Amino acid sequence: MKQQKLMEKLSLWQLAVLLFTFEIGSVAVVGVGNDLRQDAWIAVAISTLLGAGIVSFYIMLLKRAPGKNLFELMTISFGKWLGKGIGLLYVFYFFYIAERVLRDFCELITTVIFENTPIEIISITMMGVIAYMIYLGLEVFGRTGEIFIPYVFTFTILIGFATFFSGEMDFKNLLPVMAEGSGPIIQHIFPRLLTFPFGELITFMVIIPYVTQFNKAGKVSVITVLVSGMIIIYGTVIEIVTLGTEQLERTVFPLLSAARYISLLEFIERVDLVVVFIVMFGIITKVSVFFFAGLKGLEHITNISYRYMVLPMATIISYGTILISDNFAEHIEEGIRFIPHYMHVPFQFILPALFAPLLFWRTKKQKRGSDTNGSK
Amino acid sequence: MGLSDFLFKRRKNKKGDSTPEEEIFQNENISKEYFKSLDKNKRSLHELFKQTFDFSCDDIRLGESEACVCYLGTMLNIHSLTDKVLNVPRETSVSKNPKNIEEIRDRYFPTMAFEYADTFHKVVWHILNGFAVIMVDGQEKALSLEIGDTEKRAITEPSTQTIIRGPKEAFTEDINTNISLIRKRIKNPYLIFEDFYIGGDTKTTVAIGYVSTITNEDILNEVRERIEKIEIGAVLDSGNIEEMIVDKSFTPFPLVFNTERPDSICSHLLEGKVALIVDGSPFVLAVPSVFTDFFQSSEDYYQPFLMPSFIRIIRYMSFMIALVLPSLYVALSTFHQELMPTQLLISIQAQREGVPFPAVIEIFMMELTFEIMREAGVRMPRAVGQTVSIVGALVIGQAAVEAGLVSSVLVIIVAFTAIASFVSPIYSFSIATRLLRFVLILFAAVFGLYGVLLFLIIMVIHLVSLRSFGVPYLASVAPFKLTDQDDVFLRLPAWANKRRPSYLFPKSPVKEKKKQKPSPPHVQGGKK
Amino acid sequence: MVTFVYLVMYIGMLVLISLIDMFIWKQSFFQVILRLFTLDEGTNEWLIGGTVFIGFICSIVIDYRLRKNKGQKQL
Repeated sequence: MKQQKLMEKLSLWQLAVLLFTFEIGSVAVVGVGNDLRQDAWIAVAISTLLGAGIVSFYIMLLKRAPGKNLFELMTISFGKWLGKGIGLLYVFYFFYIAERVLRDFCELITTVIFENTPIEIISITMMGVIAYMIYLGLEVFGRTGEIFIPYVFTFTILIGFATFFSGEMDFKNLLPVMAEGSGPIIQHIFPRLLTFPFGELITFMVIIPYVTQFNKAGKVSVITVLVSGMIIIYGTVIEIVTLGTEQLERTVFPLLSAARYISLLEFIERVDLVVVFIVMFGIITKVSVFFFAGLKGLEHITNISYRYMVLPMATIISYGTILISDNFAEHIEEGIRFIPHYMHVPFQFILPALFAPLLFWRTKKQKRGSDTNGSK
Repeated sequence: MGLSDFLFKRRKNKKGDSTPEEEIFQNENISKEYFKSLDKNKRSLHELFKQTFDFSCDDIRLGESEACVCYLGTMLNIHSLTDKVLNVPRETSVSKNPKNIEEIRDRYFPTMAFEYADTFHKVVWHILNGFAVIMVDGQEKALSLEIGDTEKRAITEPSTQTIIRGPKEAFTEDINTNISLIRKRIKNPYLIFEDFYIGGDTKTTVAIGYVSTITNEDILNEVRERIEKIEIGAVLDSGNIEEMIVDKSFTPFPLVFNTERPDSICSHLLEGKVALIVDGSPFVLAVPSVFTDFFQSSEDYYQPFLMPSFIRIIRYMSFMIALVLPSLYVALSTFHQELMPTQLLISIQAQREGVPFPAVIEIFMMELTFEIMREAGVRMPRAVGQTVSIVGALVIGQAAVEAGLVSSVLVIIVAFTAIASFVSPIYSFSIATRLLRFVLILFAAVFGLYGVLLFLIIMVIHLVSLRSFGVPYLASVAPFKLTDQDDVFLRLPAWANKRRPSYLFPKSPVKEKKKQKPSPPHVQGGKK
Repeated sequence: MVTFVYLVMYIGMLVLISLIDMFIWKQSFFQVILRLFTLDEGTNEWLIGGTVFIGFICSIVIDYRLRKNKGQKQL
């Protein structure tokens, strides 16, 4: 019992919960593959499988040096100074993505539901909550996830059933399958779909080392990715069949738009609040994961406990959330044209692929070295 | 042997030989030594007690030796003192004289509970505790006789945690009675009570009770440590102790379970918790306690399991209602009218038409009025109590609506909230919702529904970060344990509930090993 | 140290944001920076500015506290 107090540890279940909410977090806001119309779900299905592969690659890297997180791995493979420098780049990357994710949510809130609330207030209050949670530590974060996951999960499922029983679904919208061939799908999967909900899991390379049963973490994360992929497919199908292809292409927040069709018993109408709740918790989880990962990086670089840096960094993120773009159109534009190619791909695939061989080489040498020491 | 010795297992003291009495008086200016000469002892006792009127020191003769009986007349039953102590010696002074104090006791007071006091501190301590101390000239020890207590309150029905089916005894203010109430229910040699004396001025007895074969040692040591650390002047109720031992005091939620029902404490003890009994308080504490404890009534276990499971869900729901309903009203009626079904919206707005205040002010006014009424109702002398309910119901309920000050929907909401907040079986938990409700209304007034969600998330983060004696406050929900779910939201039947809660790390995690699911007697026949 | 980290992160973030803006809007670096710092009429950007300033003050206070603690430990 005393050990529990000292060590910050996540259970496997908590890891699964965080992974799940992380995956469906911003997908619930902006949706995925809206440009692909009725084929979106196929693209999601394919990229889920690929995503599971990516996650197992990350886990494989982590297993080379158990208990070390992403930043420590980089120090191992690149040496002290270069490792820290690349670590700093990662910190920027994590914080920047955190800002983007938070911006998604702020736009959802201010354009759809609380038109009168200034966007700055939302950003500051959300960051306040996140900072409070992260300050209390990873354990608290995991447990908060545990409390909310039943609601998030059931509400997500229920939205589908409710739209179905409201009679707003038209399954003909799913046809024709792959009318334009496989070309657009493949183009969409790489780099956009693969990086957006799945490649971002590289942040979990900072969190997974703190899981109690590390050797089982790989299996659990892969399964969770598959499950959350299924939920995303479920959500995408709901969006397609409810909104139809035309409206799906035009809408910015597809799940919310779909949920607005719900009308049951002339009483359950306008369930926006439920969607906002799902989204809000998903966003909190997602931003917290990025924020925590970035803070851990700073901790690794400066050797100061991350708790001291929570508050100042939180203000920077809430600042950046507003500054990254002037309006929502610009925000989306950046998300399509710049972010996947010049940020996601290098940080999610190129850098890990670069340091993987180095890591293998270094850990091999270390292992051999420790073996010879042992024999002496 | 004194009653207290029988009930308490004397704690092995860390500081070596020093007895509790010495610890208690170590900071005071009282000489420790007990003299052989009676005069000296008498003088120092008189010095100490000279100003209290209820102190007496009567000279008697025991055989040939001079002796005196010292006592606080108000702390013991004066009739039995006269019968058993003051009257006895004169008759039996014929045969040979007893040599030492043991023989004196044997001869004159053979039937009485006794203790020897070999230091002056002990003498004082015994006098304060209602013993009659007999000091004999030329003896190294004094003899303390237990006379029997003065009047105390009889065991009555619990006044705050009433149930319909189940035992109807409640704890009283006397610690020995309370411990005997527990012992009566758990006849187990491993049920152990340790005593502590806390309070620089009051020297209150505080006992911790546990079943040594169940309770985890780490928890136990943590409790001991925290209790020994306490250095306050006065302990008048278990509430005083509670605030000194919690992990975090800046929280509206109670981190220590309190009850006046012995059966409830017993079930906690048998789960592996530690009970804290404070002399003078009918509320016994149980630690470590978790959030879900406060939604369980002991009656849940005395009724067939289906209904209690349902009732538990009702309790959780009413907790949410008590917390959220007023702020939902504020948020919906001021910011998000479009989220309400149209008919409902129309009827609410029609009623609000003549109301001169915005919804926030309206609801704040009514909630405050209700809080005032509630407080007045609690503090008022019983005879006037009727007035409050009449004034409350008629004037504030009906007249305010008729005068157009508040809308009648709002009165319904406030009343419903109030009733829902009483559902929690433990009073100190319903206080928490009262306080949080006001904060939540403020959040709703400023940010609307977003504020309500925001506050709920903050509240959950706060709850999740709390610990009670190292055990996470939301244990068995977060961190989630599947094996503990048999007694959290639902109560499974007794035969299915085989394990003690794992967050307490009990020494023996399994309660009953055998499969005991009852089934109708097997009917032979059919095929044969 | 915290203040230093704060400044590095703040400036780095500004540079990153303006780089992306340069890419999107095809403007020069100074134009972008200027656009970032002008407070648009009718918005509440001062709130964010205030928050960031509070963050800065916080980092200084935290640094001061850290140094004080360190000094005490050494003694």
